[in-house]
Amino acid sequence: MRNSDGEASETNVRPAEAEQVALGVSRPRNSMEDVSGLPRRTLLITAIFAFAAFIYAGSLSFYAQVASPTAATSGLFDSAIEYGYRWALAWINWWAILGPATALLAAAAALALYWSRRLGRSAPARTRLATAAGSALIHCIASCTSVSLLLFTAGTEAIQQWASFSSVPLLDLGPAPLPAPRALEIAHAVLVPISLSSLLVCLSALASCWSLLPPFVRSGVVRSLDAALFIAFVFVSIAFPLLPNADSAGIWAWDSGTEDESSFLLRLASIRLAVSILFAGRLGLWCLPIALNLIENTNFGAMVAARHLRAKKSGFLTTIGTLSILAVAFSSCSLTTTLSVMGGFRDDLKQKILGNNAHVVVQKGRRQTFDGWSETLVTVKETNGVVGATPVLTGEVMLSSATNLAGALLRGIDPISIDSVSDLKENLVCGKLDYLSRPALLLEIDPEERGSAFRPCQRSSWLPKPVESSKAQEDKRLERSGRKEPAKLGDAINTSSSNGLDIRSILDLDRDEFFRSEPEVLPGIVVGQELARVLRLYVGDEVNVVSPFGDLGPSGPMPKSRPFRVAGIFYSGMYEYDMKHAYITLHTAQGFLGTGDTVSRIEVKVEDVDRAPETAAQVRNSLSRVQPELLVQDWQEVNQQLFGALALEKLAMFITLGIAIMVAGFCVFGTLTLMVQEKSREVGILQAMGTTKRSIVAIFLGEGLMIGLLGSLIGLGFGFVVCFAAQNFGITMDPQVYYIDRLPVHLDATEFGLVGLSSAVVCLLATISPALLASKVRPLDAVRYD
Amino acid sequence: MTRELVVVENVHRSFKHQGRDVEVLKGVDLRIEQGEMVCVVGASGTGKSTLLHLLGTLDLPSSGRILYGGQDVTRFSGSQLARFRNQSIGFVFQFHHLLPDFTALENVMMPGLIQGGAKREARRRATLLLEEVGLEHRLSHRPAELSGGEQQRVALARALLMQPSVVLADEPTGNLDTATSEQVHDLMCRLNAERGTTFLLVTHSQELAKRMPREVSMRDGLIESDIRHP
Repeated sequence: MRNSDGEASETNVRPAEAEQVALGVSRPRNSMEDVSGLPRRTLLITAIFAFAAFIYAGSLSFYAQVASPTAATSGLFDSAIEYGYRWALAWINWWAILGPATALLAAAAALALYWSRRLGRSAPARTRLATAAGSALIHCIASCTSVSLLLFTAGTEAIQQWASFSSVPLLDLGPAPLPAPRALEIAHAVLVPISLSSLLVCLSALASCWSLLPPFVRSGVVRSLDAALFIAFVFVSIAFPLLPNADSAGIWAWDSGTEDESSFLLRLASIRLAVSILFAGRLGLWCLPIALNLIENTNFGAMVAARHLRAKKSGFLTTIGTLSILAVAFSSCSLTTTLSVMGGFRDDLKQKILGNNAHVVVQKGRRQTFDGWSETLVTVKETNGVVGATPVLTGEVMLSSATNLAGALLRGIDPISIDSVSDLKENLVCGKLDYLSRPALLLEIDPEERGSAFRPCQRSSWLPKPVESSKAQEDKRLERSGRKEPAKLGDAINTSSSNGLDIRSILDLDRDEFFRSEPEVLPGIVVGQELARVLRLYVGDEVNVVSPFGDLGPSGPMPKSRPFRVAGIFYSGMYEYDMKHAYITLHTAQGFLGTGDTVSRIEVKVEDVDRAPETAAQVRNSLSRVQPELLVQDWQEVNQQLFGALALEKLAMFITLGIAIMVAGFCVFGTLTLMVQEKSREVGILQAMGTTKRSIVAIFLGEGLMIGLLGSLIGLGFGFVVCFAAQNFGITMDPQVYYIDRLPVHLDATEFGLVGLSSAVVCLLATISPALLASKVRPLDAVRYD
Repeated sequence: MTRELVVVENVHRSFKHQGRDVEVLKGVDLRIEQGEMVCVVGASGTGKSTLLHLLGTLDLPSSGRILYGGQDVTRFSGSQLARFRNQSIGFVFQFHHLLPDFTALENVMMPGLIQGGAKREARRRATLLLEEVGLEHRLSHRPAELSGGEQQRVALARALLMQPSVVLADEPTGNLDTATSEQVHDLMCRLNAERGTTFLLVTHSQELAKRMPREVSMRDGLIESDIRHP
């Protein structure tokens, strides 16, 4: 009978045994007997062995990350010298880092193996020590052979490479080919699993020695690990940034925006997150008994319930109890995560809709225009809660470029006041809004500005990547392969990589001259990024806008066409907008669409987005005296169907995943039913001592509630961590598919509370039946012994 | 001062067994006075345990009355019975029936906690009682870590916590060796003498019964003799 840690709370100790135990000191410390059975030297040898394994594991991970021969001799080399140098370095690393560690481990393993042979056959440590030592020896041999083989081949390769390299000019080298011989590959494929699995066996055998250690050693180790965790937590909390962006990074940010820096900051922040999670988990584990103690102190029912939960039960019940807590945790975690992601999508959509649309729209009716808008504008602007208003004239047109044709919604805007209503200015990725009203400037676009204007366009994949990088890469590739093909761009291109710059400037010059050959001033137009992609448009390009309502021709109305020049490209984040919208000035639009001095609508921005309906009502009120025929709609009204569908989807998801919580509730039901069966005698005794049936029900309800609360607390914690990580560390998504570059997450405290509450309630409901079952136990049946 | 504490009047108790009524108690009459120490003896199956369960209100008689201080407990409602058991009766069973998840001290405190009284007061009284039964060094031990004799002494302390009018003990020493039984019995006698608690013991040991002040022997569901030893 080997009890793991001397916790002698088995209920089924036979009386004779109990008598014997009671005559002893205090408790049946079975493990103490095991330990006292261990000679001191065994402990010492185990400790040495464990230490050697620890050192070895450390150096192995370092070696694998930094200096392994595969890492050192793979990839591309600029010269044979570098190749040979890396190969030599791999050798040195092997001898300096992993070699001594392996030797230490092998020696310790041999010592342990030798000692385990001398231990008595019944000594508890014998098998484990022998297993650990034997597998460690196997691992040492296998890994040594494997690494030696690799290094040997790498060395041979190096010599061969050297021979072949020396025949060609040193500066002109291709990638080093490293096809390993077939036999070596096979040997390696056999040796690596052997060494890995034996290492695993060794570590698990060592881990199973844990229970053999004396309690004071174990508590010491646990305490020092706790202390290390605490120190690490304090350190990362002070030193590391919480979020992986340059703003919160403090001293760690050196050069905002570079790839290296952001990945470094991401690493720091994720280390902080990981350490914090570990610490929080440990803290929770540490707090759990204290919390249970507190609960026990409240009243009788809570005391019995908490004690039942924490007391040692039969193995099966412990397992399914833990499982039911985990089930509740898992389901509530998935529910909160899903709801947060859906909320994130909703928020994202809302933000984009609000950024591109007015909060409140004043219009006459669909496709109708109205005049006298300037008075309306004044009235609207004077209404309380209105931040800005701008007139808009819309019309449906076709855009045709040299290569393609697309339909679009043309919006005539006032470039000045549009700023107070929509995010158009911020959404521009290329060009400027100024060009709309001063189209002559478009002809003067500086090539450097055009170049720089391309950079923020990286979200749009159709735009060419910066010429420099792709060109330089190609140059480098050409150079490395040694095959200097005649470049397409003619003799101007040199082989040196620095000439990429020249190529770009030549290209830009070409284009610039092309533009200058047509010095016609055309009105500006701002198009969406997707529209620009379809029409292959750049800033400064010419595009024809065709309106279906033109002049009357001999055979009915003739389409009216007019050239415009692209003044800017915007990215709103909504495919609908980027694909369908084009902006010109109001004046141009009125002329082009032939509507006279009228507008389709007045777009209004309000102070508080969520109070848009109230503001809309006020606007309606003040307009009713002047122009009662105008319709006033707020953004929620306009997008009612969309948000209604989103809310329905969210509700459906809540119900579907709520069923997962119900399944967890079944688990709780099973656990509590078993618990009632196991504790029925206790229930009888409690009744014999005068516990009412109501208290018995309360005890078991309390147990269910505690399982539910514990589970949902764990689940919500995990859910929060997952959402926090997704929110701040970013789960990237394919913008081509989702039109959004990272998973949006919105953390809502109310939702979290609701999920926690509902899982606790479900657990409580699942407990009602077992609790009633418990109250039906008759005290007589419990105390009768037959 | 003698006062009739318990009055059992013509109590019958029959069980259904395979469709037939089996009468275990066939009209028992018994009067127990305050502070008495009564020992019920008899062979197995004579109904002495059933009588004890009826006295402890764990079971109801088929007919007849059981009066405690003039009150008929057979007419009590569920919650009344619970309160009555909590405050007026202490049980000691053959198997200690301590709660395995609680320490000795908590087990003794339990009736006080069930009553809903102050925890500190319950703890104080429980500690005193455990000292009285000689277990002051076992307060924080679980029942499984105690010997059989110790377990029964804890059970005795638990039965006494609420200062009940009567302690009902069903073969309290049935599982103990002679020496330990002796200790437990001496303890009960001492408590009876010192505190004046009424004890009702059920046992099959004639030798033990001889030493008790009052010996009631049962046979076949009826009281055969009621002897008071001097």
